[in-house]
Amino acid sequence: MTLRHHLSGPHGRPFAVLLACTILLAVVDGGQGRFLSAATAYSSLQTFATISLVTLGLGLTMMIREFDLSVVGMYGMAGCIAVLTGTQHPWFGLWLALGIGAAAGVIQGIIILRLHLSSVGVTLGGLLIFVGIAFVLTESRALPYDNLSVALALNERIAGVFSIRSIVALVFFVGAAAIFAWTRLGSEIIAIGGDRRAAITAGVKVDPLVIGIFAFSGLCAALSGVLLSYSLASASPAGLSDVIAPAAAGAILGGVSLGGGSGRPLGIAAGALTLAVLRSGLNAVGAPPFVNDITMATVLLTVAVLDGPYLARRLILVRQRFHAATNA
Amino acid sequence: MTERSSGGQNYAVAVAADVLRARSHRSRLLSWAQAIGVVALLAVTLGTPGFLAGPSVLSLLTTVSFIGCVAIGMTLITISGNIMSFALGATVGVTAMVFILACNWLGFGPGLLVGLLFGSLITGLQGLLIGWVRANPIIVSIAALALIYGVTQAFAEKGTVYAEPGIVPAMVKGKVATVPIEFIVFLLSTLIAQFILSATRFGRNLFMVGSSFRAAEAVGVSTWRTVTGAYVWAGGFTALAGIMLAIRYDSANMDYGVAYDYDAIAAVLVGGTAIGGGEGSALRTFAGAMVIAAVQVMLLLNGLRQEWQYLAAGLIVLAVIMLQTRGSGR
Amino acid sequence: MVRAVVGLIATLGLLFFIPANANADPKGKKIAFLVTSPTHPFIATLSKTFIAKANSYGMEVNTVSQHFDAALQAQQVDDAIARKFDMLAIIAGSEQAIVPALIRAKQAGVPVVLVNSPPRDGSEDLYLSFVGEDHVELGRITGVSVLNALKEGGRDGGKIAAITGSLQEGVGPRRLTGFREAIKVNPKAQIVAVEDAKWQTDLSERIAGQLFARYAAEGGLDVIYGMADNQAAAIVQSAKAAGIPLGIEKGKLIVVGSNCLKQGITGIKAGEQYSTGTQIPTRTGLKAAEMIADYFDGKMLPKNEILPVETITKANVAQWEEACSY
Repeated sequence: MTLRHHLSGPHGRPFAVLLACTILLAVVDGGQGRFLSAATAYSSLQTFATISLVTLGLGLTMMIREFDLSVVGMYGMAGCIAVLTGTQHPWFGLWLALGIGAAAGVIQGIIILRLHLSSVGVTLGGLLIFVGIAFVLTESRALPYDNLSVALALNERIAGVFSIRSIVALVFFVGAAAIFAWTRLGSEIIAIGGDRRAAITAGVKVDPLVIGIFAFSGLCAALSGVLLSYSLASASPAGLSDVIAPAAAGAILGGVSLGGGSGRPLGIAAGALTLAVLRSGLNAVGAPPFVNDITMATVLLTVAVLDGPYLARRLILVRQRFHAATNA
Repeated sequence: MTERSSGGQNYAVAVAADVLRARSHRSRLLSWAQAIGVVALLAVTLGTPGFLAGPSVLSLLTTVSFIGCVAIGMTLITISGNIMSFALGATVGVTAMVFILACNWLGFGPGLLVGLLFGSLITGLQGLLIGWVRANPIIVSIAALALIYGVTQAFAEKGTVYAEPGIVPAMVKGKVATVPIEFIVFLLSTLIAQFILSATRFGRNLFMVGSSFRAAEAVGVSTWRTVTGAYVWAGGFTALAGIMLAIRYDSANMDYGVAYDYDAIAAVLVGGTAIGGGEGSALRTFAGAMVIAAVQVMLLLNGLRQEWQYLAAGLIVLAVIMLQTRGSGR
Repeated sequence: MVRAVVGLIATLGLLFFIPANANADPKGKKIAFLVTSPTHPFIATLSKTFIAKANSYGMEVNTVSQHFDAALQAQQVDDAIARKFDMLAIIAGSEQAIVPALIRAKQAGVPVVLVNSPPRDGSEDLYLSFVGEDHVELGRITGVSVLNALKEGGRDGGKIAAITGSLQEGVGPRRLTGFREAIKVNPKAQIVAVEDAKWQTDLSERIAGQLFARYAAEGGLDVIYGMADNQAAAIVQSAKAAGIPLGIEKGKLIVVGSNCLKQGITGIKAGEQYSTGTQIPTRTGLKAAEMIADYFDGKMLPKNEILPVETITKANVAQWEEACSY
């Protein structure tokens, strides 16, 4: 199978987009060496570390035709919990936050399944509750995390371009990709997303899987939030970073569609990496700040339109009408 | 659409029956819960000193109107089956700025028109993509959000635009028979939206499209026109909120409307409109907005700190959603 | 003769060991300018002034921004370090979250100047210099202004409410501390309510309305402090809507602000707002650029370049009108 074949298939599309963006930025750079450098690589991987795990969790929920809005709130709340409890014992703070993240995901998953509710509604409620809890716990203040050695260690450069945070993220993706490739879990998740009833009839244990995916999504958001808060030596109930837009964008770029039933972990990684490269690359070539927003929006819109299920038939209709008009 | 095998059909029927039974049980629960909730709310509000005092009610009425108009717009989007838009808050800010600029340049009347058209246009364009190509509504709205912030940053060097003194007639800034004008606008928006939803063919089409896109297509509804129309109206109501904010404070910047999307969708959901689409009403959203605002005010009057308000809002939204009778919307 | 030659050689040799920044000339130096909230008029004006002034010295400024995204700003610091900028000028979005990044900048030997947003207590060794107003002092003079207004109106004390900006960290808590300190001088003046309105205009108006209601039974409020002038203007609106008269006489409401926005100046001129304080972005931008040029010229920088704050009332509003209109 040729490279072009790989890149043009649905699973290859995220990598094609990543490649296209990289080439585009290199061209814009014009050989000045600002973009293709270790600095940009490190910066991209850092952004990747911040958003990619949430993207993975959110992407998996999208693959089963759900949408976990609460990741935004869990991101902030987990950071606050870890910072509040983890100054002396950072591992305790981390495990506590992870446990709460997973538990919250399980609870939301159960509510969604048992009451046959839309996940957007339930997770919206979850989001508001998590934000509320974060504000109550911190009494609306931003909290300092005094364990600076942990803070610095998390972002310290490893091999020039990596850091503990980016390595953790990459490990998760490799793990998820392995599970998808070598166990039934992957195809079961795709099946649930494609046609849930058919999956049930086929004997897939839908309920535990759905709950498990929401738990995983909560866990990923919590892990990202904790690592970020530790590395910034600070936790804020309002959240330290905008995460829903990049996460959704990354998942979509990664080949996941809200219609469900498509996407792969490595594709999602490529999607998240594309956004990270865009942000760091535009910064590197000295583009004014708003260019990143406009570029990300354009990429998102393009992919959303190309992904639109009705695009093909609309274009055919337009072509037919055009032919009819010119032949009349 | 291919038919399922009979085994699958029977199974589907069984599941549907289960859900219906649960729904009717839950719909009874919902009615009880709503009744108890309203009574409890009334009791606490009447018992809170100061709630019914003039200043408190007046500022409640004013500030609920801004989010309320956005919530009315959001209702149309939700009913059409497109869940929500993350771009309405940013639309409030940018429309407010465009309105002030247009006023300074062209005068109040034309400025008003430009503002309304602008908001309707940028939201309508999103609706076009969503309706015509069926692009993912959440993603399109997130992209629109980023685009709006990016473009305003590129153009609006100064960040805040100020209205030339005297360009906004003093008449629009006050009250009509002790009711703030903003609230009247909110009421009118609700009534207009309700009229559209219940008494026009467009409204009927909107419910159909929200219930089942394919079924609506099958009956010959022009789905893309309906969806686009919903977004155009949503943009119009959102523009109203932005214009009202700009009028009230004689200035505009992108800080207006921040986080309005979450408040708006909460109002829609608390009012009882189903997140999955296909049912709902503007009147319900009006009630939802008033309820949330009343709870917020009450917490403040009772001396509860801000942070508890977020938690309370979240718990209420979750409770309401859990009691909603419509199942997962697809 | 030999001593002269040795002296000459020694001097020439020394030249090789003088550190790089004794290349005393701001011209051609590259500054990374990290700003927060770029669409806010204050920041926008500060940036413009800073960039123009820095360019006039021949310095290049590369601006990056984020909207209260602490993670992104920390990364922008790391990026700037990696791209070997000569100086980092930072308007910190979060005084705490920037600390690890500042530590890394120090380790890399990149000089940092903090602009406008006050640095975290105890982080003095992480930056060269801080340019900005002292917000505790700003809060204090606002409190003094409140006491003056009460006295002028013949009141010996009163009920004061504060509708503040974000109290999470940064400017808000500092102004509140200074404000409280000043008010304590008069035991009959009581701060009865502090509400966090996150600098937002419409939220401030709503909270003001609620406060009016809450204290109506106790004879009403005497003073409301809206930390930013857009908030003060919203409070004025709320009072007008509620039919509460504005002014310093007994029975009327005194409204004060503290950051001289255009709305505040208009309000003071109209007699609706009593006072505000000076927080001038052009001043800060100019000073920051000058100080950085001084640094490259080899001069020592003061640890804190605190810009003086002054109360603006009807008496001196004409003097400050232009500076506060941006």
